[in-house]
Amino acid sequence: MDAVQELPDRELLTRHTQGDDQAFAVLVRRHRDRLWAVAVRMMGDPEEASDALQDAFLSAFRSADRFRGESQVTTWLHRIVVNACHDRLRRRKVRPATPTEDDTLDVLSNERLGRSGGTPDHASQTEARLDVHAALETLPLDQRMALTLVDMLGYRVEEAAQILDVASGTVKSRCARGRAKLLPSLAHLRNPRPPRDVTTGRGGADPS
Amino acid sequence: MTSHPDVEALAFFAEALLEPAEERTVAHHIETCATCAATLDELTAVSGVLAGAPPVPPMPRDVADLLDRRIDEAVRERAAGSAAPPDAPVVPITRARGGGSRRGFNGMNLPRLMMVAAAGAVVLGGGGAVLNTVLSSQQQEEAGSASAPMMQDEDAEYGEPEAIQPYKAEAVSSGTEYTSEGLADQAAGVLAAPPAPDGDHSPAAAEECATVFAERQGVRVALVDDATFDGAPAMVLFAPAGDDTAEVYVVDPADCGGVLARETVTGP
Repeated sequence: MDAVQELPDRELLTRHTQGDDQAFAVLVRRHRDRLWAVAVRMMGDPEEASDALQDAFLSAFRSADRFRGESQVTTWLHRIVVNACHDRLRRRKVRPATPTEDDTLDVLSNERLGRSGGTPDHASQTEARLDVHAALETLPLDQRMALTLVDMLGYRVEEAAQILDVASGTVKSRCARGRAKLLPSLAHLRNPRPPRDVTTGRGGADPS
Repeated sequence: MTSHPDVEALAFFAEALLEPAEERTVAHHIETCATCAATLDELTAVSGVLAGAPPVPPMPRDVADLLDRRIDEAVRERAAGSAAPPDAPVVPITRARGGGSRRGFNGMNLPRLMMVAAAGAVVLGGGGAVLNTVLSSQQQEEAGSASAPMMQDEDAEYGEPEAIQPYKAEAVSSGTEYTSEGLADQAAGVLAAPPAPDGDHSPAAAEECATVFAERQGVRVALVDDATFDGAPAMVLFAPAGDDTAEVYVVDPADCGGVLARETVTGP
């Protein structure tokens, strides 16, 4: 067995397209933990992440010969995973059982109220995670995916842009819109007392 | 500025996305408005909350095994040389684990996936209407006529500009198994005899694929065929190109961006 494990990504992909039976599995194993994290963050659920990764890996397996080498193999793999997640999220959106935005937010505030006796501990961490996920669910997919890559997973804007196949400015504006939308439901997690708008409609408080 | 910038404007400001004039206005406003300065801080906090989510646990063993198995299967299929391997449905990890209900999916996941995996069952709209849409950008009402003229870019009478602008590609599923070599003939065949409506399935994926592709490539997609290409699921998009021709693009449904193959076909 030659050192398949040592080969660079691109070489593995080439070998795969030439009929090598091992190369693709090696390539995927090399990157699957990162791709798993991406899928879990995108889908918000490990089971659905598993489904999406199956879609993605099979799609990559079949379309490897169309990889044109314009990007890193990892970027290409990310793109395929992200697209597979996107397809599933989109389908999920039309699922009849999907709660409306209002329902989601109601559930959120109820859960928060119900547990308000507790101290900031494990329970509130779980709660925060639920909050984050449910809040993300209320965003348009484009914004959600951009924010997931940039803010949650820490990809640079340029990387996210390549993965999503859009311009960097587009990623930035999707993130900005998403953050603005998330502000009401998430800011409290960091900032327990939202500032009161004492000067509604007027140009600002005294500088000091 | 006499009123507060809205939250989105502040978020754009934080990303330096505002036009210079507006940016100056907002910057000036923030200097004197504690409320908006606080909102700006909160926007940063939103990013912090997202970044602070607990790390994703490593891929579970059974998921890793399942993925390995799927790849093994794909390798074997390829080795067996089946020209059009059946697109096996996704195996839900709970099923692979031997039980349990899938949270949030109410058990409807698998059938839906099989439907999608069947790669070729998305239909909406009628044959004649579809053909007209593909062949004619001016919405000529020769209902169902297979000889309706193609869109003609230059010398056509652009009577109604808005007839060109907003459109939605017709989504069909011809069941055609397109191949690299046969693409031209197969596409011409579909163009000549668009499939009958079926109506059982949601064409949303195909339509969206057409929309995404049209936006990215700046073309007008009139018909999208949810089919297979060289054995893998593919969307085949038809774009009127004038002179009785249509450009045919084969794209990966997972992506809807990259063109796998391209062909120019002449109308019937």
